Amino acid sequence: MPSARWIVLTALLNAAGLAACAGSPDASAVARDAQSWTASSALIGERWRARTLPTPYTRRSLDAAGESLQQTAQMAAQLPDTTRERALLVQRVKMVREAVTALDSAVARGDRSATSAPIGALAIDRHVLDSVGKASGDNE
Amino acid sequence: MKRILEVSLGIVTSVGGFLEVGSIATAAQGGAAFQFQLTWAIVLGTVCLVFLVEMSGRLAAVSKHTVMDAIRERFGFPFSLAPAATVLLVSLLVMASEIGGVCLALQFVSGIALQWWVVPVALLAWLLLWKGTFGMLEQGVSALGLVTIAFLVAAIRLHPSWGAVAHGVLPTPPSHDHTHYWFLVVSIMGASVSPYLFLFYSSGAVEDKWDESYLSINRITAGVGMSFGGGLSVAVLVVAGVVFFPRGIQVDSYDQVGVILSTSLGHWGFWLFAASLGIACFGATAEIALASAYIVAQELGWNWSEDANPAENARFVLTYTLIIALAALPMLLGASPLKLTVLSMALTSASLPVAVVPFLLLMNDERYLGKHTNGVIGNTAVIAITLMACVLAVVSIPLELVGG
Repeated sequence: MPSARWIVLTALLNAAGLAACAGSPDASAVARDAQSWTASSALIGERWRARTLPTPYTRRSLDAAGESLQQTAQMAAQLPDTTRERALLVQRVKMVREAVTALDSAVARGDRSATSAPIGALAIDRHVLDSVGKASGDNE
Repeated sequence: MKRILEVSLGIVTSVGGFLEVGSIATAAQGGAAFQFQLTWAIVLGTVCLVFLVEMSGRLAAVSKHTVMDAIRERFGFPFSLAPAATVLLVSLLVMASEIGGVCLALQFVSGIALQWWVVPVALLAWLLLWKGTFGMLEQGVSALGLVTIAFLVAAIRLHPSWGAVAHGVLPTPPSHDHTHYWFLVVSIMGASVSPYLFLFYSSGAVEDKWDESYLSINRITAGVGMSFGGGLSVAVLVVAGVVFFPRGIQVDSYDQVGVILSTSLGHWGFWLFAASLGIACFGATAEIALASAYIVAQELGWNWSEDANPAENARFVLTYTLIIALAALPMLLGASPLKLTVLSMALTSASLPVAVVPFLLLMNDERYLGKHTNGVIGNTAVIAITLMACVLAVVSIPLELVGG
C-alpha cells in the first residue's frame, strides 16, 4: 500500500506537470485556434454579404476575432524555435489578421463587393492552418 | 376539458422554459467540437431531469411540501443547510450566466456593449418578480420562450444525417481532446439537471395548490414537456454540428454563436437566435431568482409566495432583491459570459449528489409519500446518472482548468 506521503507527492508532481503543459502551447493547438477564428470570420463575412447578419453584430464579432487572433499570434511566437511549424504559423496568423481587418473595413464601409477578396483569402488560410494543425498533431 | 388545457399548458411551459444559456452554450460547444457524438449526454441529462421533476411534483402534490421544506423537516436544520447552501451558490453562478445571456442578446441586437445592459436587465427581472404573479412568470415567459423552437426548425431545414444523430445517442469515446469531451459531458448534464429546476417546480406546485388529483398531469408534464425540451437542446447540438463542426469552428466566444441560425433560416435566423437567447435567459433569470428566494425562505421558515403582496413577504422579497444584485456583479466586473456559463454548468454537475441524495431519501419515505413512494427504476436511474455526472465533474474540471 502506498503511504499518504507518496500519494500527496505524486498528486503534486502531476499538478506541476499539468501546469507546465498549460504554460507551453503546442503547434497543433495554436493552428486549431487560428483555424477556428479564421473559419468563423469567413462564415460571418459570408452571411453579412448575403444580408442575413446586421452590421453591428458583424463588426463586433470581427473585432472579437481580431483580439483572439492577436492572442493566437503571441502564442505562435512563443513556440520553441525548433518547432518546424513556428515560422509558418506566425506568418499565416499574420495573414489571417490582415484579412480580418480588410473584411472589417469593408463591413464598416457597407461595401459588400469588397468582402470577396478577404473571404477568399480566409478560405485559403483556413485550409493551410488545417493542414498545419494535422501535420503537427501527427508529429506529437 | 379543463384537465386537457392544464396538461397542454404544463407541456407548453416545460418546452418554452427548457432552453436557457447553459443548454444553448454547452450544446453549441458540444456540436461544434464533436458534431453529434455528445447527443447521449443531453439524453441522459433529460432522462434524469424527467425523473427528478416528476418526483418533486409528486412530493408537492401528495405531501403539500416543497423539496427544501421537506428536507429541512425530515433531516433537521443543520443537515439541510448543506444542500440549501450548495444549491444556492451554484444557482447564483448559473443566474449570473443567465443575466450574461440576456445582455449578450441585447448586445447582438443593439451593438451596445453587454456591460451597459446588466443593470437594466437586473432591474427588469426584479420588477417582474415584484409586480408579477407566479402564473405570469411561469406561463407568460415560457410561452414567449417557445421562440426557441426555431432551433428545431433550423435543424430540420439543415438536413443532417439523422442516422449519425441517432448513433450519437449511444455513448462512444472521443477520438481527440478527451479531457474537453468529458468536461463537455458534465457541462451538458449540469445544464440539463440544474437543481433549481426541480426545486422551483415543487415550489410552483405548492403555489398552485396541487393535490393528488394532479399526479397524472404531473407525470405527463414532466415526461412529455421535459422530453420535448431536451429535444430542443439536441436541436441546438445538431445545428452546431452541421454549421460549425465541418468548418472547424470551436465555440470559444458567444460572438461566434450569433450566426448559428443564419445558415438555415436566412435573415430571420439572427433575430430568432437573439430572441431565443434573450427570452430564454430572461425567463431563467427570473425563475432562478425566485427559486433561490424560495430556498432561503423555506430553509429559514419564512413566509414565501410570489402571489402574495410583497409587504406580507418582506424577507422573501428582500432575498430575491439581494440575489439579483449579487448575480449581476460578475457581468458588471467583466466576466466572460461563455466561460462563466460552462464552468457554472460543470459545477452544477459536481454538486448534484448534495441536492439529489437527501431528496431521494425523502422520496422513499412513506410518511411523506404514502403509497406514492419511488419505484426501483426511478431511484436507480437518478442515482446512477447523478453519481456519474459528479465523478466525471470531479475528474474533468481540474484537468480542463489546468489544461486550458
